[in-house]
Parts: sequence; structure tokens; C-alpha cells
Amino acid sequence: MTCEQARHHLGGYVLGGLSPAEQANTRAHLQRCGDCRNDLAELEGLPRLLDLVVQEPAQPPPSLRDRVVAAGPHPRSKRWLAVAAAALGWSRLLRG
Amino acid sequence: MAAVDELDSLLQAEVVRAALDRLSSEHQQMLDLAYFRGLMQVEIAGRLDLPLGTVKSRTYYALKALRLACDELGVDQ
Repeated sequence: MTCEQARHHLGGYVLGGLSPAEQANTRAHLQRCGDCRNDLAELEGLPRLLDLVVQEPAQPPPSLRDRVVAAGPHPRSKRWLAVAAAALGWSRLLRG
Repeated sequence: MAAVDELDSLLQAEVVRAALDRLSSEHQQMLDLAYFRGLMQVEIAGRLDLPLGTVKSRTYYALKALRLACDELGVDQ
């Protein structure tokens, strides 16, 4: 399998849509090719992000706001979170 | 789950939805079939009447486009 062929298998590889033979051939190529492993590393976190879209409701449950306010400042809060909340018009949620 | 972690997940889900909205309809369709409906690549080829190689490369480029959109929107992983 060439790098070009391997890369075109990475989508199905990451999402679990390859045949067992394709899966094995792609894995064998990845074991000996650092460039393709780097390409894989870019993509392999995406299923977890897509899982969030499946699991999470489009709106926060009403009880969440109260618990966020009650929790107060959190050391693991990330700045991007506040920026994203503002961008989504959820600023009241964070401000309390 | 702690409230802050739960909020983090909700916001991340919204940002990922926004990233999906930025993709072309072809790429959205590919992720819908390959991920949300869980179809094998060969099943997608049959359903869309496309060569298997086209489905493979389109799935790959759909994920690349999603990665780029997530990066642009600041998803931090």
C-alpha cells in the first residue's frame, strides 16, 4: 500500500468503515510510516467530538445554569469556553 | 459530571455543530452516512452509486475539512 492509498483509507479507518482486509493493510502501512501516522493523529480525535453532537441536547438543561453558578470559578475552566459561550449567545449562563 | 465539565461538553458540542455546518454538502453527507448512520465504505458506495475509491477519498477529505473547521473555531483537541 502506498502512502496515497493509505491516506485515502484513513477516513474509513478512523470511522470504522473498512473491510477487515483494508483495515489490516492500512494498519500495517501505519506501523511503518511516520508521515501517515501524523496524518492519522490529526483525525483520530474527531469521532469523540462527533460523539458529543450525538449525545448532547442543543440547549443546556435549565438546572445546569444553577449548578454552574453554584460551582463558582473553576481552576479547570478554559478561556475558550467563555469565548465560545459568548459567541453562542450563552453569556447569561456564565455571568449568572 | 461536574457542572463545569458538563457545560464544557455542551459548548464543545455546539462548536462541533458549527464546524459541521461549514462543510460542503458532499462532506456533510459523507459524515452522516459513515459516522452517524454507521455505514461501511462499501455500503456507501452502493447507496450513492459511486466508485469505492471515491467514497474512501471523500470520507478522508470530509474528516480533514472537519478538523480544519474545528481548529478555526477553537476546539482545543
